Amino acid sequence: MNPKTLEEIVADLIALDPSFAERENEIRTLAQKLLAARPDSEIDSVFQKRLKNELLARASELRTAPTKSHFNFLPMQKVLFALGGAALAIAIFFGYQQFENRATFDFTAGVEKVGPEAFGRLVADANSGVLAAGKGGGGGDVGVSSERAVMDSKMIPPEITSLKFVYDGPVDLPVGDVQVLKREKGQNLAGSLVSSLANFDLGLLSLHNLTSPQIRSFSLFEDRDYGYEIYMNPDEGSVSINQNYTKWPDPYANCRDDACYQSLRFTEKDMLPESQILQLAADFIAKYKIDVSEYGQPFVQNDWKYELMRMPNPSDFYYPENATVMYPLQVDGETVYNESGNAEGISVNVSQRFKKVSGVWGIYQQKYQSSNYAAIHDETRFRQILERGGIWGWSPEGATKIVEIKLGQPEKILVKHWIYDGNESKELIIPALRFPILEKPQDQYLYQNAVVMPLAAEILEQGNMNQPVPIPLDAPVKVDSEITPDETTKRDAVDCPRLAPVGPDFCPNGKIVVDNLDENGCPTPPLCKEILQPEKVETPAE
Amino acid sequence: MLPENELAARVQKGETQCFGDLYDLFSRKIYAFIFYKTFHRELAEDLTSQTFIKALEKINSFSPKKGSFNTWIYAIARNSVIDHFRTQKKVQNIEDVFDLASNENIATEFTQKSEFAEVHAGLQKISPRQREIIILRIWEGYKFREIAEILGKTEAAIKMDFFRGIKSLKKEIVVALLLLTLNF
Repeated sequence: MNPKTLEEIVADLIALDPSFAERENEIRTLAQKLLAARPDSEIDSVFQKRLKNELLARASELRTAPTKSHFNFLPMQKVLFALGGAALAIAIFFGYQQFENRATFDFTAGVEKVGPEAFGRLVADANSGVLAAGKGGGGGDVGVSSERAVMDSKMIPPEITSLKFVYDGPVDLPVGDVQVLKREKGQNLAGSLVSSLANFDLGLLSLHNLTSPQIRSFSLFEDRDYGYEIYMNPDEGSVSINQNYTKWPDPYANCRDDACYQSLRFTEKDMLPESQILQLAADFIAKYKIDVSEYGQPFVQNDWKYELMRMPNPSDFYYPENATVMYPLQVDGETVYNESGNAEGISVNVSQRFKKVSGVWGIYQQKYQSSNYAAIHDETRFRQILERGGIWGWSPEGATKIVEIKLGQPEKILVKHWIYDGNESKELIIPALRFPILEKPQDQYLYQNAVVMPLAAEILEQGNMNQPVPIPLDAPVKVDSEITPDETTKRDAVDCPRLAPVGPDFCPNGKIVVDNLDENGCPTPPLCKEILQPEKVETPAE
Repeated sequence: MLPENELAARVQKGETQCFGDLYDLFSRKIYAFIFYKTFHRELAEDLTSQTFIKALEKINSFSPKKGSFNTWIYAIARNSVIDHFRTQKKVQNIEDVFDLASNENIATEFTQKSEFAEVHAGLQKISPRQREIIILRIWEGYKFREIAEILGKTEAAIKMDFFRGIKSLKKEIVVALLLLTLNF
């Protein structure tokens, strides 16, 4: 109860009838009763957001369609011939200005429930080349060499470090299924805009004869100092904003030597305070009316501070000119993360040099289908995968050094998970547990901030997605005369991995032992056997 | 943010995204207004949706010369509630939907609030107009001037109804308390 409200009510009544002053206590008691009896009438925020999206979608439907363009390219024909393709592009963009300035894209948010396991497999088929280069699976399909190569006994393999993620607390696994979301893409651009563009007869070619034309992507740019280029992809349901580079100054444009670059180098004192960075981002969002209603509280990403901490000589550190403000995506009130444990959402890049926003990425249509999938219930298996660092972690065999990374209490999140199925990429959002890394090691580079464990059983139980793949090196090969018959027999059956040489700091105080073979007859990484120093013998005092 | 009449004018000109701003200004208030007439969350959400959809579809019928957007949208909200109960029950005094909302919904939502039972019993006994003004003033914290605008009355009339309502309520709550006590 707000005491001020109570006093105002009592004062109102006494003002209306001064005789109430004599019965002020009765009036006060009544007003207190009324205030205490007030039911909770707070609107549910999820409902509030959902209704807003529905209303804005309805508002778009109610708006009249744009009229057909009357723009006539014919007078510009000679110009087009002279300038070629670039002029064509510019002409189309110029013609676009003839339309009403709001495209009827369907960017409404929402979740549509569909049947169980409606999205098929949650992991790529083994033959679909998910780990192939160029499909986001990493640096290429690195396999084990089939050449016959054995390690020279004089080669010293590297120290192999294994990270062990430690968490001993309770884990709250779901009961039953989990709800997996799949983002809807491939929304066709509003027919009126497409048909209007298709009406263009450029004189060079006619767009009339296209069958069922659609627009995959297009961009617009601002022709002014510090202008922007907006790239729209209705096929993906995405929008991004970049600098129109031709209209932004390049401070390094006249540099011809390193001294010039160093003189312009960003330093710590050039870094803006976080409050200013956040304000610049917020002002931009407000000016261009970017809808952030589905996103949480923005924050400045400070991963560069971890890099600075690891620098042996901080004065060599290159302070970033651009700061990124992240507006974290929220679905049904839960924040969405990527598999490295960092928030997903709209990134607003702020140029600290020019004190302006230089780019915005990650604006996507948030329209989903949801489908139930089996959840992981096996806590032992869950903890095994957690210990190695999640579905992308791995523990190399023969590790000579184990570094323990302590994890904090998990929080329930949603994680974005991509799978590539043939030519199609599916963007899924899956319930997960996020275990924050409490302290990153100083001597090991660790890019992730948390271990994220999706709770869909199919993803966790697919095994080690990130198989340890040895690095192929040009290791010397033993000539056949040096290979014993036993080695030949075994090694013909199995392709042994090549091992890289150890560094000079490997085993400084011990003896390197390299004679070990595994069950396949392949050499194992060398071990370091400590040499015990003889104990000092005290000489008896004379 | 722009004033609501200005926002409404922009929506009428085709700047439909301004309706989002109007929604941000009024969604909580309209929901609470409807909730205090129905005391049922799901129903209040449905009727809030209907109110805003009607407001959007009929935005061109709004004229600032006839009154403020504030008054206009509250009128749509009140009519949405009345229309709903009109389809549910046939009663003579459809304006008095407070009674119609009372029994089941109250039992569902507020069984634990004994003060509410006492106050609700008293509120039932006073006139609908007085009840509405008391709820807007005390539970929603509107000033008399704002209530006058919502209900399309003069501020003096609102104050008088409030005063009379409190006097009646005071008497009714004492009686209601006595009745509740006797029921044990």
